[in-house]
Amino acid sequence: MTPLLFMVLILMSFLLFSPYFAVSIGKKLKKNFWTVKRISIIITGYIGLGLIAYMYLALSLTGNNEYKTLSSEEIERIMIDENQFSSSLSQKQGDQFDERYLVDEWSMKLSSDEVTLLRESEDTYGRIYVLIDWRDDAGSNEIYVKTYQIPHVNRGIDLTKEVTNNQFEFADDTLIVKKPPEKQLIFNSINPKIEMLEWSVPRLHSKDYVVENSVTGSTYLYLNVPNHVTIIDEGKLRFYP
Amino acid sequence: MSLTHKTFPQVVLTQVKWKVMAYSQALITLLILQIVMYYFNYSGSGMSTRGNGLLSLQTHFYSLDGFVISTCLWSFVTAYLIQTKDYRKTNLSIVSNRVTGNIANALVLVFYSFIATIIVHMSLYILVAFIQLVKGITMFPDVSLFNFLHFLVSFCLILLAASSGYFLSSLFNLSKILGGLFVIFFGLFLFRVFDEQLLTIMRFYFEAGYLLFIVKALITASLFFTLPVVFLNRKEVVRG
Repeated sequence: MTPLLFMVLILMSFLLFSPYFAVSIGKKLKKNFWTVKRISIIITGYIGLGLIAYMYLALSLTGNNEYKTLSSEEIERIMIDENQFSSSLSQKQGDQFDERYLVDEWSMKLSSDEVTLLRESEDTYGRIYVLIDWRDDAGSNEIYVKTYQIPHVNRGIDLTKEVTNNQFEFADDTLIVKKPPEKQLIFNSINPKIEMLEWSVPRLHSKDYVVENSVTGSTYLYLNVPNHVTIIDEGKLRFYP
Repeated sequence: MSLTHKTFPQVVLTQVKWKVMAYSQALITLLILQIVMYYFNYSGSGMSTRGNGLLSLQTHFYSLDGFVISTCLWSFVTAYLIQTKDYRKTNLSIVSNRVTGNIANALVLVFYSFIATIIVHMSLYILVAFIQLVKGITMFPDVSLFNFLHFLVSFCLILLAASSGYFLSSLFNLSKILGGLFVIFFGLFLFRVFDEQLLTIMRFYFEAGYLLFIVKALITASLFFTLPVVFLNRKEVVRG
């Protein structure tokens, strides 16, 4: 038991039994126990205890390195970036892709002039988009791949590292999107809001909309393919701008 | 001719200071209520589940809901009591008339609502820190540990409850029949006779987002505090 826990327990016990003390001591004194001064001390003490708890939480949350927590502004920025990213995808402006989201760069050497895009399972995590960019290179059968990963945020917790293990496998001229086993995560969250209003108030009007909606964590595969290579999209993964 | 001359705002301010101290025991009741609410919120205010095939996320969250609801009840009752006969008699201890008394009461309730909002937030922090220490679980903030917008929303909800309690008590003060009718009307709401109307009221307050809710709540509270000043205003001599 840490000294802080001991202190909190003592204070909580005091607060818990304060009505009893108030009545019993008050009766003994045969006076009005709740004088303005005492009430002020108790209220100030309670608010002080709350501030200590706040500081303790702030410090302990900063020290937690397992998952990064993002501010409302950071999440909003990611959402704007993702929109810009999608629009540069639509316009095939590969040079304008935000390199901050580049998580992997690799290549696939084909043995034929065909490449097949497949999903390992029908219900494979759906937010994977494959964008094809053609190049004039008749002498090569190599496809250059860049993997971009938009951060995955849930209620302010950055879970990107949990979704990036969505592996791609290349074998026998086939690019397979594998379905990793579903990960189960349990979080305890302090939410200084009125949660029932969060469900009923249209969130579009609130800046906090971005928080509740979270960021999707889409994965984009940017393939630089020689012109003569045929792509067979069996997994319906291709993104047509 | 008098030796001292006090302006209207000075009289009101004196009353506010006096009443804030005189009614301060109400805050102790609030603290006790918060401690009771620790028990109900100990295992969390709610849970949400989200999945996308890759991740299954279960989030237990600790929010202000329970604390705010209980505080709204407290503010309603406190505001109701402040306008009752016993409390009104205490007005005679200081220089006052009906108008200054009502204005001072409203300001006291605004002040108490603000203190109550701070206490509500502190209660959440104390509870969560306690749980983190005792259970040894890691807590994550839902974006931030303090949300100013929800602080204002909580304040407005508590103020709305206080102003409603004050208005109801004033109605009883004006006429027992009017007050009784209001209670019956309110009871019918509770027994879900006016579900559609209730939904309309909820929509009116919340459909346009939090910022407009704050504006609407402040206007409603001002109305509930102002009406008693108008309809209870009279010149009288009270036998103490």
